[in-house]
Amino acid sequence: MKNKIVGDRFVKPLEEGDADVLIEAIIRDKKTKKIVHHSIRRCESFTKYFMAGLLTMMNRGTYGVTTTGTEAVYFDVTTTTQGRALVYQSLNLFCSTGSGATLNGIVIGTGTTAVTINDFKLEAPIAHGTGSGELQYSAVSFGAPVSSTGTTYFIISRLFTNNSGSQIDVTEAGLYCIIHIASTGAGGNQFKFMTLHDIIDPAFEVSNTQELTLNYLLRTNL
Amino acid sequence: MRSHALKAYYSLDVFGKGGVKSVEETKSKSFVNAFIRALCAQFGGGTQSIDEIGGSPINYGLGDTGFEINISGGGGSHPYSISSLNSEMGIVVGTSDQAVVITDYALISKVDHGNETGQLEYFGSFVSDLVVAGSDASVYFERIFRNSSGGSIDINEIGVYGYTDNGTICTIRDVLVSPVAVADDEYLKVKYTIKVSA
Repeated sequence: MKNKIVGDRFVKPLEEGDADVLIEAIIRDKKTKKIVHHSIRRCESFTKYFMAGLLTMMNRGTYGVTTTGTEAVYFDVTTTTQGRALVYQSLNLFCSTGSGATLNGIVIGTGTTAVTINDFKLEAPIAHGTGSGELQYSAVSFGAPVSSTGTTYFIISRLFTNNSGSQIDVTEAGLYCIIHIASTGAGGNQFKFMTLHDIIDPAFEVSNTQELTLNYLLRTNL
Repeated sequence: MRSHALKAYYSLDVFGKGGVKSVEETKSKSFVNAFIRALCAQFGGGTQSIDEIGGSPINYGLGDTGFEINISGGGGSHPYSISSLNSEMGIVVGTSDQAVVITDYALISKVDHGNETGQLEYFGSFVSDLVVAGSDASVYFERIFRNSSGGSIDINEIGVYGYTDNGTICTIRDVLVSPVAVADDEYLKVKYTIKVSA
């Protein structure tokens, strides 16, 4: 399907009292800045790692992950097994990062497999760069929280630029965040986990020299 | 059914000589302002100004305590220990039925800890591990209150207070569909569950 402006028609009304995430995608021509695609959709899935990060915020304890009947281990975004326990530290769900960083913040890929609660990384991440199949990752930025009648929200943003020479179809997106775990290893006990995961269908079609902006809007309302 | 959202649920049980009266699991309607602002700071969005439960703004920034709700502190077990400090942290209850607004920074009329008229004894909080089952991931926390006041107390509002380095913030406030009476010498248990689904 061709890129087109779809507005916000995919955003279903939020059920009263829920907290959810909207993903806004904007594709612009880099030179003319003309918008060729604009869509807003509800984030498809929080993962268990979001709940893990939230848990560390609510209790400065150490926790394991329990699946049905068996203990589970964590996998960080590099697919490294990182032990069983979460631990509270000063960084819980931190996702701010600079340009070029592909292991923190908003990330994108070309995977198409349906999301699950246990997803810990993108299926097929797009690398940072200007080579074939690569996009340039800008720094993650934030919009300050806004409160208006019945809602409070804030925005996490990232810009991706295609200088690869060819169109790239983005079919998945995620949010990588820092959570501390008890087991220590290389790099201390601070690791990155995927907290949100979406399969994008139809794909965000980013032509050569176009820019894709993804805005994650976290909100609650009454 | 896929939820696409972070959802909270609550339930109440009153234990008395006549048995157990229960409010079955009900959808919580009210993550309030402080919850999203605290999340923003933790995600890396910079220091946020959040009204603490007294209504005064506090600075909440990266490196500050998340929003602790565990009364006993530390990990592992979370005993039900009575403390006069308990009513400023974790699950709290109150008597107001005033409708929730997104900017609520505290319960409207919180029941204080104690055994005098209109008071309940706040026991410690329990916080679960992360539970992953099927396509859901959830945590739950619960608290027991004892009425030793000599009279009955009608509970109309419940919420969750979180301790931070610079003050206590209210992250959830709910008004019950119907008041729950807790008679003298009865125990009240309140449970919140927060869940996401893939």
